[in-house]
Amino acid sequence: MIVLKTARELSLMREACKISARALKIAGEAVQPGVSTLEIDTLVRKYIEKQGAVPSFLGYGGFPNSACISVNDTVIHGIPSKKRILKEGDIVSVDVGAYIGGYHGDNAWTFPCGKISDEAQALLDATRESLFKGIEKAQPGNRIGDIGSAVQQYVEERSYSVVRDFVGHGVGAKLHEEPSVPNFGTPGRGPRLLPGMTIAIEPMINMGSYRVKVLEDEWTTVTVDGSLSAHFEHTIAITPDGPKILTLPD
Amino acid sequence: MDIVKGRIVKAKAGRDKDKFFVVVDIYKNTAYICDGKTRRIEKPKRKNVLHLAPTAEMADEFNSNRKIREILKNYRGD
Repeated sequence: MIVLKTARELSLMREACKISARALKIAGEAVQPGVSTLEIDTLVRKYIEKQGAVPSFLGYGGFPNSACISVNDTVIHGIPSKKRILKEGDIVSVDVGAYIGGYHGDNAWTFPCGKISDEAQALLDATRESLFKGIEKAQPGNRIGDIGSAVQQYVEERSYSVVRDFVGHGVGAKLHEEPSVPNFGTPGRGPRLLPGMTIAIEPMINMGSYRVKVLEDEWTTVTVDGSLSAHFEHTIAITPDGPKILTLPD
Repeated sequence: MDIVKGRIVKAKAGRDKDKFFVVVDIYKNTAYICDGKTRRIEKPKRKNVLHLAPTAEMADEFNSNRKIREILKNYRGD
């Protein structure tokens, strides 16, 4: 069942999303060569706790940390580790959410570590732009398929591929709610977008094939062909005046 | 988000660092945690609340070691 949020609930969600966005910003500033992914996770966790919130991912389905930090060919759900040291040229996707006041926020960004290759930068730019193309379509009266098809069309025109196995999702009192928000699809299909819906749109785009696999740790998801993958995500609210990004730092 | 009875938490310090537990009792700044295995209900581990990271999840029933193990089954420590 798709839950529509009242104005009061939306302002609670905005709080959770604001903290999520600031935590993501802190993570981004920490992405430097020589830093371990665990250090970034700890910074994120400490910040979220200091705001009186709880990291949405910690313990969720058993996930052991507060942020998913996925480097290069890791698509999503990378587990922060002190053994994973970032180096110049890496692309680092950080996905983080905060839970406060009974509501979750969820956002993600792929950061360059130092200087990255032109191809990597192009992938990041395209994925980031596809997120905004998807958000543009999140108007009341449109359908879920309009978002996914906009993302898919934008990146496939540039010869990238859309990950099929993982999708965006509704956000609210639970981290993952209905509806699913795939990053691919057919315009005019799927549930109708109504004011009060809060969804996380999160394109996961690969430089090579769309195929991904989950490693033995049951979390880390990598591209099957080893190509680079980028991930950008915002939690947005559908309002009568159009989409409103909730996960902004201010 | 609080450390209260039933909250699932992750230990931040100690030899059980990075493992998940259920808070079975709490008094002021001292919590008592169990995982049903190495820290059983009969003798919970005392922890300073500052050394516990709360998750968003709560355990509804934690009156037996078996139930606690069941609840924590999917929680990984690294």
